Amino acid sequence: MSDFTSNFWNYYIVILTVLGLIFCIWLLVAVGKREGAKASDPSHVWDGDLTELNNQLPGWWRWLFWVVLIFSIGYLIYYPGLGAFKGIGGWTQIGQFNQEMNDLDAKTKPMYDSYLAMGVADLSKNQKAMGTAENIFLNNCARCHGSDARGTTGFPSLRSGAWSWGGEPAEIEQSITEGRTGVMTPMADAVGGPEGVKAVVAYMRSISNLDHDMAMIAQGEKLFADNCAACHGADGKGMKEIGAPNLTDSVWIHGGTPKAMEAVVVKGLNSDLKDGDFAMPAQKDVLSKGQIHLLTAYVWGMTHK
Amino acid sequence: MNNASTNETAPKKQSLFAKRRKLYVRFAQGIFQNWRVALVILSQVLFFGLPWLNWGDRQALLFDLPARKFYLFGVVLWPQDFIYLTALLLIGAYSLFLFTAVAGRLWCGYACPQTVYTELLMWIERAVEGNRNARMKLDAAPWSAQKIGRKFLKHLLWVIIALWTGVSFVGYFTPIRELVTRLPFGVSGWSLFWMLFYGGLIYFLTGWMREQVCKFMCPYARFQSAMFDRDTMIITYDTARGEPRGPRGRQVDLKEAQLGHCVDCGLCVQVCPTGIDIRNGLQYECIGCAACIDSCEEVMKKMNYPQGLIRYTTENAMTSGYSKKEMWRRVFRFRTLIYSAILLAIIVAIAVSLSLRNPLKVDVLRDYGMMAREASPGVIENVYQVEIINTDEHAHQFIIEVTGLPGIDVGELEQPVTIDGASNRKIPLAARFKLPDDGWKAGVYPVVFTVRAKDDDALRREEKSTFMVPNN
Amino acid sequence: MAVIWGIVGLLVGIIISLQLLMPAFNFDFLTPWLSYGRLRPLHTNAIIFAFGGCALFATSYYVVQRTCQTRLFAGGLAAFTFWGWQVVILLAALSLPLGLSTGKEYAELEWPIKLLIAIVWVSYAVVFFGTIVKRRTQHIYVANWFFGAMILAIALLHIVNSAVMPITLFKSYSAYAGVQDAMVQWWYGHNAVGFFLTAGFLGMMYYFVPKQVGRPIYSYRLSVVHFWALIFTYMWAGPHHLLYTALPDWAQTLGMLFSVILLAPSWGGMINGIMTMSGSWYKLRDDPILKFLIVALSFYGMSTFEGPALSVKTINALSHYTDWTIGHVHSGALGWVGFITMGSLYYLIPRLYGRTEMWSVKLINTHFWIATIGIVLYVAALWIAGVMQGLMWRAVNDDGTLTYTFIQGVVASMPFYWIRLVGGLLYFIGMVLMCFNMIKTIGQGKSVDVAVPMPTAPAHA
Repeated sequence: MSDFTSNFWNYYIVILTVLGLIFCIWLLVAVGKREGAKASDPSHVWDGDLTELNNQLPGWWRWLFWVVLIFSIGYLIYYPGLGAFKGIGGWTQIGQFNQEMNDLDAKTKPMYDSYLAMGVADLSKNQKAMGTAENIFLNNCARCHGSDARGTTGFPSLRSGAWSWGGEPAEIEQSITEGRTGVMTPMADAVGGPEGVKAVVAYMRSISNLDHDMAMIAQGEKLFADNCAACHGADGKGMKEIGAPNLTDSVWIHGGTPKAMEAVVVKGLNSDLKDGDFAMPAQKDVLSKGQIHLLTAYVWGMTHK
Repeated sequence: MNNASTNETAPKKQSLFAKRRKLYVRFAQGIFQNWRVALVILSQVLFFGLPWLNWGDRQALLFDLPARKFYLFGVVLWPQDFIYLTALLLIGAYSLFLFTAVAGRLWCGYACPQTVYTELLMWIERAVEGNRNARMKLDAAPWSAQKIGRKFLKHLLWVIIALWTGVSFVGYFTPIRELVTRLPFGVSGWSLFWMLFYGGLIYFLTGWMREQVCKFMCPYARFQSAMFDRDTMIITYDTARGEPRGPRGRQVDLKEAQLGHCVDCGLCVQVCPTGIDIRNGLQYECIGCAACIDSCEEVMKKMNYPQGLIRYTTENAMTSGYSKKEMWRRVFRFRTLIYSAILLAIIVAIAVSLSLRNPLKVDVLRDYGMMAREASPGVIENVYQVEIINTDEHAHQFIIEVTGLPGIDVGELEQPVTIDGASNRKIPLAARFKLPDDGWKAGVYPVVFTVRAKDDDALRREEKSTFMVPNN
Repeated sequence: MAVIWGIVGLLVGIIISLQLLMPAFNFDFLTPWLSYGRLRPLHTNAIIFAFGGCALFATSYYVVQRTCQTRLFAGGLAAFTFWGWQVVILLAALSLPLGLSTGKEYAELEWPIKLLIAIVWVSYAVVFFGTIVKRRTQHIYVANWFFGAMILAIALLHIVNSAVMPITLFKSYSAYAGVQDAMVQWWYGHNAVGFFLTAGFLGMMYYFVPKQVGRPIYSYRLSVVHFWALIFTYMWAGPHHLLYTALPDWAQTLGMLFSVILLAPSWGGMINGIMTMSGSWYKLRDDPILKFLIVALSFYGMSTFEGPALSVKTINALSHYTDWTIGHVHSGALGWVGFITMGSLYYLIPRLYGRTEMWSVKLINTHFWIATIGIVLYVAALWIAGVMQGLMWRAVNDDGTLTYTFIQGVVASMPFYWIRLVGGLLYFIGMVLMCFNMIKTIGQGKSVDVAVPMPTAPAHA
């Protein structure tokens, strides 16, 4: 717990500090007392005409010095400063931070408690609550999902109605609290190289009514059933338990062009962190329960007007 | 040129030892003293009174630091308006330059809080302990019940005034009407600290330290002296006219007695709040209060001598014997004109900007997590947060529009947006641009967001931003 | 007693090179062709080490000779320090825009240059202290204490902070890690201010103020007390740059406390300077050099009051990372360092050319008026900008979320930056006037051997 590798350094600092203060006090006392010639001393002449008077220190300056010294000594007694001595006030920087955070929490607690008592559906109609939720969203979520929550390539829109991990309040709350990381392994080899990839993509495009190469569908359908259906389902409608998205709607999180789709099949997702990582981080350490509850209502309300 | 102090006008005494020589300042009466009294009263009426003024149902002048809102009568300023504070600071600095260039340390002599409160506390001192002679006698007298009583009363009154200035000071930052009801123990820690701190400063600096603050501590005092030049009107003793000085009867013929106009009554020294003798010439201690002028004029009147043995005049006027008119013409020299011009420019700028001040502020913040996205084939969206700061004290409904590209709009934003009085909100929105069929070059395009209140045409603001069209 | 040509030439060279470097003022603004991140260290290095350093070399060599009443020890070595220092500056001017940087504030130069600095600096110390040793006065003049302290402390600071592991000729890594590196860096960084820009320039003050005003130093014992207190406490003040960081609490506390204590010794210097002038106050009306010196002392007083205030944790929480700090630094750098240097050089230059006055005293006056107007603009704008930024960054909505994004604070700062630009330009114009005045003075004068005065008191054996 100590900042010092050994007690020696602790005493080193303490002694240096105390000696330093004593040194300042000694300076003040000793030099102030010493009787000196009051007028200029003729034996001290430099450069022809440079001389020095020896006026006493201005009284108030001496007081000023005393005041700052005494302030410092008092401060050192109250606050941590003398080596490992923690000060009688028990102040720490992290303590001050926690205190400020607690104060804020205490201030907002009644508000959040009242929100926690409300259901998501009611909450999403509460204008004041949604104002706060919007602030939280813009501060914490907008960086990836976009300020308007419509996302961008790689970061899902929360307004599309398509929910890889489920769109019920409890599921949304879970997504926010614990985060989500959907993993898809690279499939290029499994589907038999570039040709296979093209075929699978052609099939996927066909089931979501996009233009596709008719000639490859049959091969693609077979490859899909063998390699993809385990997660995305035989009908391609996905499996929210593992976050496998529905491939039959018009929502393409990682891009809906044949090129983008092929890239996903080849590289997979989140299987190799060097290639980028589309994990949604858990927010439970960042946001309070009340805040997460509010966000859930806010997100849920986007598609439930 | 470095011959040390042979023909110096300053006294060669060993002044300023650690123990301070206590000054017993005599009160001067005259035109300059009247000015000072007027300024003390005016400034204190303002200082103590302003926090009690109300504007509508709130305090007219309130600097609400936690909320970062600053109420000035009809306007509410936000941190973004701090440029006005800079302007105020600049006006302060340049007026100091100007006034000092014209007539020396006017600020120190008449308007500085140190002077004002010293004056105020001295009035009390005089009321309780009597005039200069009485005070000297009292201090010299041994301690008695009467002496203790008077001293106690004086300090009590000082402390009361000092504490009340502290309360008033804090009253600019927390609503004063509520504050006084919580006195003395219901006040929060920081408010109490500032009350005691500010009050303590007043008590110690102007009750105890007095001229030492001006002589040793205040850097502005030094700064001002550097603003002097030969055409600065400074309180000056007319040596040629005054010397040789000496006491004399009223009827004495000056030529015969070989005397100047100075009767050496010493009043100018007694009235000096910093304890100097103005007859020794310009000294750094002189705060330009003109008490010596007032006291000397009275003596001159009594003696039937012409006025102005000590007067405001310039070095050039003294050495070259200019007439008053000539001196004034030179006072308004190039430098003072420059200062005046700068001051005027700043004041006009503030006035114009305040009169055109738009209570609506808008910041357009592009999302930087994404450049652009293709919402559907051929439709490009860029996402923004439009922060609407409504510094008006009433709620308004706002419409947000975007222009700059053909057919660009704010997408599915639900309008109008209601913003409460004196509050702000960030509105997330996606600007939507449908690429024309004949294509569009990728690039960064300037766009303009317009925010306007539905019910008030004056509340309208345009903010520039950019819209990105990506490569395909 | 004769004085060597070489020394005069040396001083002149230093001053001219100093003038050439003036454009460094504020150009970090106006150079879109070089990025801010590279020019900013160039700006600070140019001001602190090129402008400040040359001024210190020139004045300390002059002062130490005058007040020790002897010639420089090892004049050849002194010439080496001049050329060596110019090479350092030149290399800095090249390497920093090239992006070669250690990333340590005020110590950005890469290790080969640091090595050269160390060599030059040690030579400087040899020349300076050698001269002191062979002095012909009994006592060491107070200005020399400050110069001496500055030389010793900077040597120590530079060598400790520059401990690096060279990787290539152009790249090195600090010998310290993490928070220790930060601690060492700011121990160095603040003392660069404390010793280089304060102690060194107090040395200038202690010679040129009494010289120009023609009065004795006010109080010998005040100078003793404030000298020892100043150099002692400054050493501790560094951690106040790291309040509310990973630095241990005790170190933060010590840094803050010794910064607060520093107020008293700092003001001791101001008092001594101002009281020295007090008997000849009337001269201020006419003497622009004195005006420079007195305003420098005023700014010194203001900055050294502001500094301890800013180092108090509560205030620092608002002011840190804002432009308030920049405003504070510039009130010190433009007001104190700049003005004391200008005042000193206005005294020094004509004397090196056998004259008693600059070519145009009126121009000095003009310089003074312009510079004061400029400083006010600069400092006022940044102070307020800093407060505004601090308020905006920490503004919190009722629900505990942040009110502003960072960029909004930047947008709101723009008008302040314009005001500061105008202020900086005015200050720069004043500098140009000074340069012009100097060239004219040199053109009219003839370089002379400035006689070193004979000792008037019995020489110290």
